[in-house]
Amino acid sequence: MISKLSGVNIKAICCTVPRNVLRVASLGSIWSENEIRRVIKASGIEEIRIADEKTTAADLCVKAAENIFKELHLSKDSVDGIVFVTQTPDYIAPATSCILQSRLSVPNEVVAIDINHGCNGYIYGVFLSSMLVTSGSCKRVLLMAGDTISKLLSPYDRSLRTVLGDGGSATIVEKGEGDLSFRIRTDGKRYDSLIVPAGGMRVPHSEETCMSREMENGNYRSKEHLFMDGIEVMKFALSDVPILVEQLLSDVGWAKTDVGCYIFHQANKFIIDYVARKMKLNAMTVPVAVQKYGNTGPASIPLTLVQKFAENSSDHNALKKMVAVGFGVGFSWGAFTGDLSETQFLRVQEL
Amino acid sequence: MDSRTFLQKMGEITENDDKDLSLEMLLEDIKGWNSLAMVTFMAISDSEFGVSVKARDMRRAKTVRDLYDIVADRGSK
Repeated sequence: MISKLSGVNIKAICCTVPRNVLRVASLGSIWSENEIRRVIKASGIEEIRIADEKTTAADLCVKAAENIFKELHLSKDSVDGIVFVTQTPDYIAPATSCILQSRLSVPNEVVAIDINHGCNGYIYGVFLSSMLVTSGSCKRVLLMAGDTISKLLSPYDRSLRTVLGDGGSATIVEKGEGDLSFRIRTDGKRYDSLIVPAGGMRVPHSEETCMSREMENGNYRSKEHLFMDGIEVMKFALSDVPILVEQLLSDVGWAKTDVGCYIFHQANKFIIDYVARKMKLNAMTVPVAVQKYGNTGPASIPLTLVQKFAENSSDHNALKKMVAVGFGVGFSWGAFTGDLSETQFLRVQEL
Repeated sequence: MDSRTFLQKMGEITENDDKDLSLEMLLEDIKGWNSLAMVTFMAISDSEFGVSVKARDMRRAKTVRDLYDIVADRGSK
């Protein structure tokens, strides 16, 4: 899918993480210290945030959204679209975006849409929000993207527990003078390389599906926990993602060196470094912001942007030509280009 | 690529001295050959040797030589 959308701006971004910190090194008591040390060195992830039992992705996103309304003095009455991207909704039904309309006191005259996507979810969210704006349907869309993925992880899954963290984001996408160009691809053939196999309608919840057992490499999990085939995902990131980014750059006529900032989905340092190296990108233009929060799924692109650009002293010129890149569960991958130099980035909030 | 360079890379990936490694060794006998090492191998093959390793071929490999053959064969084409 290729699309150039004109007349849309990303006005502001804020993110919220849970207060509860998990130091990855502390997992060394469950596994071997040496193994954990190697994992941290490769992933670059020292800490992740874990939501408590009561907190959902919607709660994290609400706090981020409220902060934007407050700091920018935006009227909630001006919002006529809500897009909520998550793999961890509040309920199976209704759509969480409907509940968010009421919680945020946004008028009833609003379109509310949930999107079930993970690490490519932010690209989807910006794409759909921009579609709503550029079609003339909405003037101002509140996009919220986040997961409390910790609730889908086995405590004894060593491959995922050390990298995935919880986080939420809010983004205002509105009518303006800007252009955003997108490329999005899907390959459902590889759906089972990143999957929660049971608990949906295909394999409903049962006593058997929630029983943890030993799977590969001494990992314990149930069929209702998230599974990742790390090798398939690595191959996906290295082979499919660079091609898409290069095609998008060619669509918009930018050379690789024109781009001031590449915001990749923050899978882990290891993957970002290899993709950047393979694409021969200047490492200075490829921020890695996983150290404190890990891989936060659909929130990772906005969380990287606010970590890098929320300080007053930060130089926003690098964002005149910005590329954001997502890839993950589906498999789904996508990217967009835009000018985010006028976007307001608010400091990370805690809940 | 010669086998020595390859063994050096394998040493880096598994945190072993490459002098302790040989092509005939069984992968399962190498300390440090785990899922992280497998993913690292895949990434290095791709970005440094220009060889895109199939996940299936990688899982089938039993010895260090099996891996070397994957990289050497395809790398020479």
